[in-house]
Amino acid sequence: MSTAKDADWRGLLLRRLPADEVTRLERLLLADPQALAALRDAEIDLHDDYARLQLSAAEHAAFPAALLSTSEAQSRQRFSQAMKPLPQEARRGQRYQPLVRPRSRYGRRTAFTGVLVAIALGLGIWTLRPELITGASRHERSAAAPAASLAAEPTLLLLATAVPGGARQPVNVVLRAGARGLRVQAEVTHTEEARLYRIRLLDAADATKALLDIGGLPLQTAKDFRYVEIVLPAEFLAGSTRRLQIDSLPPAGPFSDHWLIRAETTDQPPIEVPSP
Amino acid sequence: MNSDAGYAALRDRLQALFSLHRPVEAAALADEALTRWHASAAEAADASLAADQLHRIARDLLAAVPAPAAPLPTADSSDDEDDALFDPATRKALRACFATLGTDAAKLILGYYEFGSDGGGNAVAARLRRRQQLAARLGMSTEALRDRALAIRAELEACVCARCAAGGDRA
Repeated sequence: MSTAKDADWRGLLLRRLPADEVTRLERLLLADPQALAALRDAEIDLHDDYARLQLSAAEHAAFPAALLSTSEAQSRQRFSQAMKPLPQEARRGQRYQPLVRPRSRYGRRTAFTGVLVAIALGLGIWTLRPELITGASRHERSAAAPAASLAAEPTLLLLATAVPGGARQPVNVVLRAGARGLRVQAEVTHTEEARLYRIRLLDAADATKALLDIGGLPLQTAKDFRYVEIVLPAEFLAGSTRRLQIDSLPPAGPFSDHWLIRAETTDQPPIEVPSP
Repeated sequence: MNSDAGYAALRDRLQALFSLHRPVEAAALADEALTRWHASAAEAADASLAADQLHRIARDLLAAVPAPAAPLPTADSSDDEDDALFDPATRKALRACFATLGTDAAKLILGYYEFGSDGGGNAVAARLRRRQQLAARLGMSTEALRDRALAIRAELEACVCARCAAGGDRA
């Protein structure tokens, strides 16, 4: 009887294997009692890795279609999201720390007249001119390191203006050649406590053409910052201007906002960011 | 393969196979495959032969059942029932359920699902190494450890589902 590694099951679940390999693994699944447990183990790990943003850009892009298409699968993903802080909390002895959901201070948002863009790298956050943003990590990563953490990738903060959906200047992003993706945190100034959002990445020239369409994204909070996070694969950003569209999902009332992202790639070394 | 447990295990495996292609209809397709297998009079006692027969039947069924039209999840794929499982209610329920686990089970699940981002590099390889070390420490095989972790996680998920369904104030 043939055998399978964890990577094989992950590839099967993400639908990234050739047909003959799919056939081999399906037969193994039916013949070997241990194979089902290995498959379930791999599926849970994929959900956890997705929740922790530990999938490669290609895996991350393949995940929603492969493993979020049913309500049962979405429930599993929410469980993984809930599991995420458990080890750290247990280590700190804070398992029963009360949940705090800060309220957004909408009144202060009126001070914003445009989009502010910041990149968070490591422990620091710097506000930069949009044209200075580099979207690449300093570490060149190959496609052969599929589960390398995206934690070191830069984060693009798309901050809200006073009026959601209002006109804004496009956000210019420069990605280094070889960058896998760009983590984006889109601020939500929804007057309701909506829990789930949908993010679409559209071709700005043709808003009917969706390059990415992911629903069921959770609202996240960091102190007063309420946002929805997504990692955009670099290949979806290259080319022309993209429109990042965020919408609330039922049963909450409507909320909609969008930003234009103009990305280009460069072979130049990343711009040095001074220590704070 | 004649015992009820054997059939149930085979059905589980078939359902897992169909879930890879038609997640919504997987259970019904597994039942249909087993029905066809029994009716074919070619039911093999040997596990490997039986797997080949069932795989052929499964593939025929998949070819006959049209694939769903929209592969990407959209706003419509999230309903109220799912919403009830979402954070923070899910997290709150998880904490409550986690507190009901025994110490050994709690340690095992934390050790098994701890993630290795701090190790850098390949997180999958780091996780595998950590689980091997955990199994060695606990004096069990990695397969036995995996089965135990899956069982505890399933128990936790069921507990969280039950608490969320019963209402947030209980969690």
